[in-house]
Amino acid sequence: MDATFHLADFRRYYHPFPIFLCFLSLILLLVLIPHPIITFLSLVISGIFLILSKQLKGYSFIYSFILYILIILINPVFVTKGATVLFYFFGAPYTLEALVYGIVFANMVMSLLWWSLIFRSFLTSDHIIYLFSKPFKVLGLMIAVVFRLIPKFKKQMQDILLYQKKYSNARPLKKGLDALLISITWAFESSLTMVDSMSARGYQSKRTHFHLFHFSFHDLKLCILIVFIDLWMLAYYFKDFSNYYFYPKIKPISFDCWSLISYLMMTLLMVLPSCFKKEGQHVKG
Amino acid sequence: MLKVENLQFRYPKESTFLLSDLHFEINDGEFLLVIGTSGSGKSTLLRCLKPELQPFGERTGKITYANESLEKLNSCDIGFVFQDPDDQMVMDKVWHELAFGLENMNMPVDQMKHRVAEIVQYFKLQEIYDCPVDQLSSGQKQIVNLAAAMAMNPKILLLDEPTSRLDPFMAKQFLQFLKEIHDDFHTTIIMVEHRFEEVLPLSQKILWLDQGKAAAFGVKEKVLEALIHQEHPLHLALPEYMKLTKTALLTDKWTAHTYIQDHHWKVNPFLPLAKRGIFLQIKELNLEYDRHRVLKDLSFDLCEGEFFCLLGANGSGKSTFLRHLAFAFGRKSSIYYKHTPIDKAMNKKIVLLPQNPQVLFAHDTVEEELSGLERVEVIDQWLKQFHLDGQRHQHPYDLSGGQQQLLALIKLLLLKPKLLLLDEPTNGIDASMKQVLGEILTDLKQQGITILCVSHDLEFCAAFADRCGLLFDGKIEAVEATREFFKNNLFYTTSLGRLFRWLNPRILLAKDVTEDE
Repeated sequence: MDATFHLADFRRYYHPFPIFLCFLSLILLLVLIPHPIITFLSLVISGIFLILSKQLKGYSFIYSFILYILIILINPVFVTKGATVLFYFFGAPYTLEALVYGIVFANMVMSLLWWSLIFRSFLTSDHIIYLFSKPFKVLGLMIAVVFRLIPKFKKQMQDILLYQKKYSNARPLKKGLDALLISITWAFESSLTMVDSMSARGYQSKRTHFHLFHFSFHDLKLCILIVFIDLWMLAYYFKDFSNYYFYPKIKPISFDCWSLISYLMMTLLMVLPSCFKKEGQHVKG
Repeated sequence: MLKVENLQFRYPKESTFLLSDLHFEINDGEFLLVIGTSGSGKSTLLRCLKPELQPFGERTGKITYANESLEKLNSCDIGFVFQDPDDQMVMDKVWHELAFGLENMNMPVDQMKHRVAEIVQYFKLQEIYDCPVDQLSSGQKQIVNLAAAMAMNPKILLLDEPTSRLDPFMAKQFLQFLKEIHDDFHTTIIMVEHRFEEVLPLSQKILWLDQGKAAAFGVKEKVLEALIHQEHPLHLALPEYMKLTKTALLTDKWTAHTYIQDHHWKVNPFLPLAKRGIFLQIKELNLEYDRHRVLKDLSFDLCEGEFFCLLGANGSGKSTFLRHLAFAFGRKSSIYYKHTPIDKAMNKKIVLLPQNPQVLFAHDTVEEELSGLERVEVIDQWLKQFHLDGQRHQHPYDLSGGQQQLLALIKLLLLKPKLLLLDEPTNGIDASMKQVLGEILTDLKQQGITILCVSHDLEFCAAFADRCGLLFDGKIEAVEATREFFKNNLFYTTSLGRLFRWLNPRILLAKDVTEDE
């Protein structure tokens, strides 16, 4: 990510665990709290992230936008509660409150999608394997092997499909099924060598795990910060956010001291990923 | 000291023994080369030497290392490098692949880091250390596999045809690393290889396996002497200069040079190139692969009924070129047949034999694979001609590499093609099978089929091709009759070609010269 803004000294390479924790808390809190301010902030900040890292552009932006509008407009069709009626849609009241809830919900869904994209770009295969290896040793290995095999099988399957399309005289459906059958048979055969290779190097259930990650003091500080924000938000949720309602009339958004701090906390959590540095993607040598 | 005594092995439900009466011993630090024709049991022997890979079946006899049963050794003490560089890799990144064996040994992480750092330095893998495995070339992959095996510090290193899928230059680099390992660590190395010309200078002893029995074992000169003076199909696998000089004392090319300079030679007459009309034209073809511009304004004329060989380094775009020829048609394809862009009907007459023939097999037996495509008599004829008659009821995957290629070739020939494209047909098959393949292709050529072959096997091209060309920088350069093509090359020519430069640069193979008494 070639960011145009520089938070020079704040940015560093973090251990996978705090990064994972950050995104996990973010997503869970977002789903938990359907508050207009929270969801709006989430949408804006994740959108800025994606635009700056150039991951969101062109067609995908248009599709997102269409989906967004669709969710907003569809909600009032199904939810007919609410006091202010805008017009009648096939006999059912199309209310303002339902529309506003639609906006909030659309914000949430959209930003969830975007946060997932951002999450994926920060946490690479190495990180995920490491995270899962710590508690479940064999799982980590399996994930690594899966990451290895997916591109290989995909390439081979494309090849096989190409040959079947040209040389087979069967109907198109049978060609596709044949291609699938050949791919599976081939996959099994080539895996035999891989299994041999694993046994030849002494594969057994008891093993250590090689990694290049180091949990430093900064990682600990980050974890503490994230946990603190989580606890605050949960506390405030039980105190105030869970009481937020849209129907029959939208509850006015409070801007008192405590709620302002909560909004700020949430913003802080969302802005944290800007401090994470991404490992450079390797270019083919 | 590795000792094998009275080793016998057969697969379950088989009546004949695959290996019988094997009896030999290797001292510590020796390099043993195992040679033999396809099916002689070389791979099986190698697997018997590694307890984890011991094939399931009936085995009798004793294998001991340092007077103790081989089973007593740990898996890390015997390293194994397989034939296919891609299939044997387990992890997604290079560093992880190197550490895989160490993880299995339950090594503490700090020690692992130390070992991996060392290995990366020794094998010069710094640039690709963090690379995803599928982005490496075959040669790089095989070196990583070698490094991964050596990371475990084995006492014995077993290699099963490691260079068969590599091009000559990458094979040389691999063998260079092997030589360094042998010199630096005094590891006992046992290697099975078909193309053993480059391996001869490294090895000390040779075991010649013939149908599971040891036809000869001992110091390399002795075994080669025995092979040279016997009429045996394995003759074809000998280095060209050895076929000529008929003496086993020349186990490296430097002494071969001196020998050849000291003797008189007579050049056999060469056949002239037949005149042919143009079959296919390619005009200014531009192709991209993975967002790289692979072919740049490539223009090329293919003649009717000729056997053309396209040479070039790995990654130069040869496979991409072939696939385009095989699957593209229409105005934008840049392919012209009789001055018009090639249409779908003509495109059906172009067939491609892929590098991995298994992509064409969709059935459980050879017979089923071919049934329904033609009349039974025609299929029978093809099977007989390609020596596959006895394998009718076998599963295609159970055939040897060369047999699989021939089966795929039959499947394609039943479509009555006009142009046959071959992608590295000689990869991984032994010398006698190469000869069979070459003769079959010559036969097809005489029946009117045009053949375009992509290969880096210089001897094969020199023996069977009419014209050759080099794919370089996205264009096909130096398109000439085979002998003219090689005549102008200093480096990219057969080993015999380099040895006989001074006499006549058109000499490429052993059959081109005879000793003048």
